[in-house]
Amino acid sequence: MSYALQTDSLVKTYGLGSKRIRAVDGLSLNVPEGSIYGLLGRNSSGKTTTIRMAMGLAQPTSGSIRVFGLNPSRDPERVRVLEQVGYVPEDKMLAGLTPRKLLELNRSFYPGTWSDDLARKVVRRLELPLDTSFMKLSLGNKTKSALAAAIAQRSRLLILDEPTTGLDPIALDELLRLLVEDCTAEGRTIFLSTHQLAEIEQIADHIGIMDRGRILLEGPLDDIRASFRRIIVTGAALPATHPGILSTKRLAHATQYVLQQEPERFTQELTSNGATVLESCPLSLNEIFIELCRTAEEEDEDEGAAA
Amino acid sequence: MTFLQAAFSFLVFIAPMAGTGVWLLLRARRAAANSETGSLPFQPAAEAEPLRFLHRLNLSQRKVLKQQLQLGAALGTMLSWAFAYIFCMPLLGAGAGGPKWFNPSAWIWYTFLSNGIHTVQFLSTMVMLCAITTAAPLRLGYEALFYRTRPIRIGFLFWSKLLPTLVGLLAGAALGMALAFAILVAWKGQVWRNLPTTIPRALGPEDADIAQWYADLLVTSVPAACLSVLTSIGLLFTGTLALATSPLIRSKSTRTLPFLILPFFAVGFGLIQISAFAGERTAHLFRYLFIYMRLGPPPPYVFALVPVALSLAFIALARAFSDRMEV
Repeated sequence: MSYALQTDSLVKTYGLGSKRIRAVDGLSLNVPEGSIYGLLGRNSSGKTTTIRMAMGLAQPTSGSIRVFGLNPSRDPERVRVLEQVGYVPEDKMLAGLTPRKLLELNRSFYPGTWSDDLARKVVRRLELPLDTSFMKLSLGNKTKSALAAAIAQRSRLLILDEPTTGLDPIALDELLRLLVEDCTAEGRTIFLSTHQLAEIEQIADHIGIMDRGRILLEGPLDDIRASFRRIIVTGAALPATHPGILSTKRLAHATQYVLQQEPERFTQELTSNGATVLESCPLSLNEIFIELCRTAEEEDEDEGAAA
Repeated sequence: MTFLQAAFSFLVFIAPMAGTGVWLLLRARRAAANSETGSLPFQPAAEAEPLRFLHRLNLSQRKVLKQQLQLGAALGTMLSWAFAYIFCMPLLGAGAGGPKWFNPSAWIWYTFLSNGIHTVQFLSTMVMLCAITTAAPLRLGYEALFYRTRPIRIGFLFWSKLLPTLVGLLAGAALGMALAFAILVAWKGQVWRNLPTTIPRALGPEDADIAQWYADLLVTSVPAACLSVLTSIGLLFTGTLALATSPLIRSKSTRTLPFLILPFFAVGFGLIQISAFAGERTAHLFRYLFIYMRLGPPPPYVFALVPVALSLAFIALARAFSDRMEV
């Protein structure tokens, strides 16, 4: 499998001495080519810093980051990376321009891949006013402008940092359709970071969940959904620890397990030991995300207390 | 200078810039009104055939360069007007100190040149902002996010911002000085030809300053003073650029960066003012930097190489910083 974006033990720190912050802490990501990859994380989890390193806007402190096998930190490889990448940053404001001027400006940077037809299509579908100054545009329209410019580039990789900011539900729906219909149909890769899980769940085929600079989970969304399950059981001698258990919660007359791998096998083990399964249900992406983040937080707190 | 003269002088200075500002505002309003009545579809014009000397550049490089050349030309025009105006200010209301002087031509020439050598100080904020504007697409805000994520080398981005702006500033200053001299000749004639080589009448103790100033005026070198203006602009511009790109200044906004750089200039400017008048020993520093702080004997021309070398060092520093800077 070839990868559009790969990181290996990537670290990015800011500040010095006691004020040193590890924004990205040993991150290893694999974004397959042709996928829609959703990078999920809470605020300040390191998503934007990772993207900035992928775009050559920040230098890794250690580890490596590769985009189509190229190093985005140094010219001339950086230029070859940027020829193949469309980018929508979190901050979407270019003073003194209108969306039309932005599209015209961006067009000249990608003469080989740019499509005027696609630009018109995105403008029409997102109902973007072309001649209003950026100073007067709403947040949603600024987002639409940046999206239109990036999508019309028809780059091999589209990196979207919080692309849904300010979009109303109809514009959001149109955007998701455009991404699926026009971007992935041509085998392009979409890498988007967000904490809006519902939208990601609709279109992503791969996800990575980040928290405090580290990756907690990564893989195809269907596999992840299949491997997570919540079961409620009663019985004697229920196990407290097991490699498959993500979290355990004691209820009034039963025990709730959240399982993160091979749930069927674990359930079989329980029933063969005399336990009764009262309920077994899959987890939504939102529940998976919350469980993973909480568990990681508790582990960190335990480690901190032990230290 | 009376209030009316001052008002007239200000009006002369501000009128072209205010006119341009009003025209730009009206144009923006017209565009906004058009957008409200319904946008035309996105139908960009075909890219124009590049000029012969730009053939070796690709489309994106030409686009960036074209923008910067336009910006450089606008800055140059603005600076040449500001220079011409500041040089010629004494012509608009030259009578205030004149009666004390023994010769009207000497007074006009003295005030003309005095204003001229202080123009860099008057326009230092403008030069500083130009340097910050040069650094903006490399490190500040969405402009940097946009340009640094387009397929264009950092080196090209750096030089294509730096050279048009710096050349625009220097050419603007040179043009402004030439314009000022032309206005002086057209208005008052060649006043420097009418200067007595000695002070024509005995001056009393109260006129000692005038005698000293006149003696300074007689030994002032106009070409050296003009060259000093250019080297000082280069030094100020490149020094600010090195600061603006330096990792020491941690700002990601075009709005806050000037405030972070300003203290350096306040201290620098203060030191210059203090040391310029503190005594002979410190005055040498300005001779070495080829800075004409007041009329008098010119520093040797070879000293002009010092600010030029320093400017080149600042540019090299800024270039090195620009590769490492993060957005």
